Amino acid sequence: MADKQPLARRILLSFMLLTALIAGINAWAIIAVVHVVEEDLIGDEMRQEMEMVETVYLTEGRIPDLTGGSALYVPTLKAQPLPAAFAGLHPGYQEVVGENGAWHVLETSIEGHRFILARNQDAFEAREQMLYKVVVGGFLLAIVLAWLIGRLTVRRVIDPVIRLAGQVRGRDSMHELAPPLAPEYGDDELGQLAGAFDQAFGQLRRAIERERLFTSDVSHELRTPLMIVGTSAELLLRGELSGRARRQVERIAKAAGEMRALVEVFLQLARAQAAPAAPEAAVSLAAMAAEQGEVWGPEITARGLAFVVVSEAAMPGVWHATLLRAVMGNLLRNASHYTERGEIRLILDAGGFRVEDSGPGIAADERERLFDSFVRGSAARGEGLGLGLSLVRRICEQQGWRIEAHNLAGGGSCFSVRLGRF
Amino acid sequence: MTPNLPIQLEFSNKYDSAHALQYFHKHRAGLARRLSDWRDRQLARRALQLAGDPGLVLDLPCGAGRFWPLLGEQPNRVILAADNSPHMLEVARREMPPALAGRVHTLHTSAFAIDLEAASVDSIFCMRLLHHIADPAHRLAMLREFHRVTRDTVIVSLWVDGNYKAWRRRRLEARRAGRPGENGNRFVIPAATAESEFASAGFAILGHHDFLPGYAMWRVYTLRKLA
Repeated sequence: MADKQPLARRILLSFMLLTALIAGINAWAIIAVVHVVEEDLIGDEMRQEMEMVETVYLTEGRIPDLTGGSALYVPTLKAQPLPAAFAGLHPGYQEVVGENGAWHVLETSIEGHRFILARNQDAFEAREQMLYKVVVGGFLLAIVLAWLIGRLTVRRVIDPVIRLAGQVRGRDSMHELAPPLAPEYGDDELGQLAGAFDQAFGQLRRAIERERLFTSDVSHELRTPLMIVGTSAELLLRGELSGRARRQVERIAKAAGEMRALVEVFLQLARAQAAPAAPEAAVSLAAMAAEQGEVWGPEITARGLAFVVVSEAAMPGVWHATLLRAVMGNLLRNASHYTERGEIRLILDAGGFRVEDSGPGIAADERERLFDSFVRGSAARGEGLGLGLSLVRRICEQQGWRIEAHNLAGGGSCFSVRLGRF
Repeated sequence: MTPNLPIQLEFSNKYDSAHALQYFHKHRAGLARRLSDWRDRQLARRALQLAGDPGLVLDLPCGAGRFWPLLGEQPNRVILAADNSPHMLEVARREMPPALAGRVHTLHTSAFAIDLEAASVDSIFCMRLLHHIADPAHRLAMLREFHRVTRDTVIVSLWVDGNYKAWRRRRLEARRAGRPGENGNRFVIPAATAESEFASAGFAILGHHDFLPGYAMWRVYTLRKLA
């Protein structure tokens, strides 16, 4: 999780660093204060005790017995070994660490005698150890709490962002009934972000709809004049024409026919849904292959190439005639444009059809953009805008067909179309 | 199997109008039914939560609209309800709670060739269908179709093995071997098989919930579509 959410990790880390810093300063301050207070308090207490000893010694002339854990050493008056650690003492309060523990020591001089008051620190040390444990425990607890609160904050802040990102991904393809995103988020920054996405998608949808309507309108409007051009050319061809004029009129008729087919395809693509083909407009794969073979066979042979139609397997079912014609025709046109010598094969198999040629193949860097509009092979030739393959891809997308292009092992390229939904 | 010939399931022919109405009332009678219905809803609710509370849900097959009130619990959700039986849809539409009227859109379609474009819904909510499909190829075809139509997640319920009921059922079937059972249109799919089928259809498993772990066969999987 953390690797893919650097922001979440950063929030968590800054929470914990901040807490560690504050709790660390606090702990250090507590320990320092306790140390200073300890010295002050114990020093005062021992001075009072020493005053009491002094009073007793001066008034009664004896060394009093002490209770309460303190020990009194007077080397000149009491026969008592002085611990080795007390060798280098100086007058006043000090802490001494020896073999048998740490000591608070107060040295005073009374009537020329050295009075040494010592108090073992062990009991106090134990209390101090407990204090350290509490301080360290508190520090760790603070960090754990910071981690927990950090996690909660991250969940509150980052999770909705991740959810929104998931909802936005691929949203352009969604059904028009898809509800807006904003109401699912509160009236906060995320709600505003969701609202902005809603607005952007709304605009995108309207733009696509406008384009669709425009294409549909234009195609519809173009149908009639193209029909007139086509039929007029046909009528002209029936009359008396000189050889040159006949050739020109034939070219006009052919171009008008191609344009009408293209307009039909645009019209089909502009329809919102992939409507099932009307029975009269449905065609089987074999029938379309035969038709396209008749159209493209002579043209390809005229260019000095061989053209073969191979039927590996029969695929049942019928397909939208206009669209299947456009896909197959464009692939054959494409193959014939880019092939200098050899042959072009139209192969029907169980899942669709393939168009193979013995041309130069597809360069690796062109394969990606092959199906984009207005992109033509580096060895572009012949007429055409480079719309053919992009049209093929759009048809395939709309119909749920799948198209792939790859190079053949023996040279040449292969365009494979899988019909049916995948 | 050819992609054009729609897959028809034997059991789906039984849902005529009278049967559909009966089906609508089925989950409202008796304490045990009510309890199990409550648990079904709870599982569905959890699965939806796991799927990230999708906004546009395709309820397929919606039957008599049993899960619509549940799906409608999220106020912003739009429900596309589809069924293979027009009678079911008709009954569901008639009995629909008025509060949902504007948010449920019905669609008559098969689960094997859903009449929607690719990636058009946030989630496909498919309760109690997969256990009717015996043929792995059919199951895979349906899962692939789900993969096409959903943009993000799929929620499916099915019968899995590894529990007491499945064990008893297998024993009963072994005893009855040779005699055709009267309820031969529902099948237990081993959990491992189901999970590998999800993977080969291009889904990752987000999680699953059991109706009664160790005892009942019902399990609800939440799947996420992999790119």
